[in-house]
Amino acid sequence: MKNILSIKNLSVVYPGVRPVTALENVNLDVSAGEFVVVAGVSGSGKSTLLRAINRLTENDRARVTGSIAFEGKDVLKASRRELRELRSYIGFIFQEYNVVERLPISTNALTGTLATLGTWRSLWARFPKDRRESAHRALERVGIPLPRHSDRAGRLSGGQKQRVGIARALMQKPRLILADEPVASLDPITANLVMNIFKKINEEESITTIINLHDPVLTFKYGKRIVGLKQGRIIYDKPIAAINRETFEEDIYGTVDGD
Amino acid sequence: MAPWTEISQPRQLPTWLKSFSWPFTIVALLLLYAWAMAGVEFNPLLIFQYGGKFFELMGRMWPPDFSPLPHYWRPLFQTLQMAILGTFFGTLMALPLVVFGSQLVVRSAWVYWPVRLLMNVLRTIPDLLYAVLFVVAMGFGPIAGVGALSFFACAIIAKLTSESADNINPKPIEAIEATGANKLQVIRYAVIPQILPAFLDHTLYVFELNVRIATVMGYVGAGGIGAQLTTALEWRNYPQVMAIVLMIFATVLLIDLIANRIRDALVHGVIFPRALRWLGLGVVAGLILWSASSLEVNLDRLIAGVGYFNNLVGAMRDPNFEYFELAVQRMIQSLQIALVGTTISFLLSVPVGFLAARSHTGVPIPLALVFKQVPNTIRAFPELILAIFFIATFGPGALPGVLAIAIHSIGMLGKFNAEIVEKIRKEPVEAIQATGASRLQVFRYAILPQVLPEFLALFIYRLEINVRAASVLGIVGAGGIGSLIVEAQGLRDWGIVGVCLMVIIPVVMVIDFFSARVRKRLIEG
Repeated sequence: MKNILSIKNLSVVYPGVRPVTALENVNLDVSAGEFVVVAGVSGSGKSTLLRAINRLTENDRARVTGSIAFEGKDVLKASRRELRELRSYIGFIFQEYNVVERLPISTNALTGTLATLGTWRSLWARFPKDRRESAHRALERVGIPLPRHSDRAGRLSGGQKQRVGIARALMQKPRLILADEPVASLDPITANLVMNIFKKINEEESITTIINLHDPVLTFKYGKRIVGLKQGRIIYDKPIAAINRETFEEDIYGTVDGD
Repeated sequence: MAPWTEISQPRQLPTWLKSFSWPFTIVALLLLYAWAMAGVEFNPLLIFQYGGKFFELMGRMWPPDFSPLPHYWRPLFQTLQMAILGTFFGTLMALPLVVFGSQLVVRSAWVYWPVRLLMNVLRTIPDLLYAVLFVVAMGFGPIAGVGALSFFACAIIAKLTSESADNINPKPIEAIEATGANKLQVIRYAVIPQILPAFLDHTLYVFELNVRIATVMGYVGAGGIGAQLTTALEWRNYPQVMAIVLMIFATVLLIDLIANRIRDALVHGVIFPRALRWLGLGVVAGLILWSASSLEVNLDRLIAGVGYFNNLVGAMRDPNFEYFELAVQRMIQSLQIALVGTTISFLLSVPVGFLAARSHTGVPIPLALVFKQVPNTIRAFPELILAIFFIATFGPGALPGVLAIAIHSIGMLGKFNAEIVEKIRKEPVEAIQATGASRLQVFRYAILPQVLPEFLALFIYRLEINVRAASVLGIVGAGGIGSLIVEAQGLRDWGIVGVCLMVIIPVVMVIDFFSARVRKRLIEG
């Protein structure tokens, strides 16, 4: 099978008075269509890993070394223009949803298509009709009913905002979905509803999906392949069937009982 | 046709009206500005033609003549003393208004509505108009200045502090009530701790304002260094004018610097050590005593002041209605001055705001720090002094008023615009970046929607402030209703001042009311 993503010797350091090494010599290959859950406690480097893949780590002024090949192109060596193109193929979903609260829900979804919309048209928000229609379809698909599409995104609940976040990613027609703790701020029932959306997208369109989760229950319920991170290193990388849940939980999360 | 386009959407204008609303708004705005610009005789050509004269004037002021410096120290100290006492008395007067105007303390609407109305009326009267009124009531001299500054300070402190009091967290109040505490205990343990930092912050802010106003009060005879400035201007002794202006500038900048340090610490919840608190209290008490003894403020004079106030009210009890129409015309011009001036200032300060912001915009930090100082520097020049300079350039009229407001307002608008840009949420910015959007697209879809409503709300707020400013700029000859007030002062016809007040107070109140509503809608969406 062909690798859509191939990470070699990836290290990420956040500079400062005391530099923090978030990732150390990480190697990871993901083939097209896979559904990978990255498991680990807070601070294990999960977010850094996903953010490095589309170079959002630049916003944190992190030093990134190694190589990340997405569909054979090195992300770390891409020019600004190439990076924008690469990013447009990768849908990113955030823990805090990151919707623009003052924009209408439909416009939030449409922002997923900015990379392929001319600058002039995007200034006046002149999105072509077919895009507007597909935004409505994407939003309905993730469970936002049409009458709400012209509401401001700020009026939505957390779970609904995350659905808008997913719709925005879907509008990119992504070849890879990266979701950084997408359900950590949601209640358990909503979390399952949102996780099911990811599962469905992966199964119906075989879009490669990598999701960060800190919750072991969700990890085992949805993961098909599990990558375990601890202190910036990958210590597990196996299909779900090959994992002994008990030893895995002890290795990744430590003693759960606290004694 | 896809089904989703047919579902009706509630809370929206009909489509045919919606397609008209944009062009309609644009045409209405164009007409409004054409009217306002005609009213203030705003002519860009004139500015280019005579703008050179401004620099020529500056040239004649250089080098500043500091030789009479020994004569300037006393009036400069007097200016500071006026500001200190004005803030002190204003605070004392504001306290009962805050307590009785708050729904948290008084549950009866019969008490707090009249108190709030009084607060709003006090706030409609512009700073210099208070000065004119107190000069009428108490005669020339710094005591009139202290009176005017007290009322002005009281109005603002009361208003701002009640707003803070309305927004405090009611949960601790419930918790203290639940312990069986009485009303005073609740105020002491749940209300005061929550509003004290805001109250001190507002008081220091008002002190900064008072210092600025005190420097120009001498223009209407209310004491302080403004009197020396007026004399130097009358004699066209420009090097001396420059010397005084530089002294005012340095003083205001210094006071701002100190006050801002303390206010920053207050807002960020810094806990001052006990010793430092007592020291601070001691310094403040010392300053108040120094000011009071030096200006010879004592109980007798305060009591006499109440009597003077009676005289004033008596003088204005029968307004001179012959001047009503003229007062309305001049008030309209004041509104036009405020609108055009604020708009120019807004257009200039939006780029300043983005350049001075230290985040999201990619402006290098050293450059941002330089641009941060631009608004601070501009803010230190009182509007009236700018107006005086522009009058010397363009001659008396509305245009100098417009320019004074346009320049001075950059101070506040630029500073706050930068703060708005700095506090936007970075998550949406990242989300749009992550879709592969260009820099311009990130700006248009993640930054602009976050800042625009706040920019507009700030613009409207500044417009509200500038309507007050524009109604007194006429006192130095910069157009609007203020010109009528000086004419009345010259004629000693207090009935005309009464008519002016009758026009200014309701107009400003109506503008305040609508401004507050529009801003609320903009911010809350």
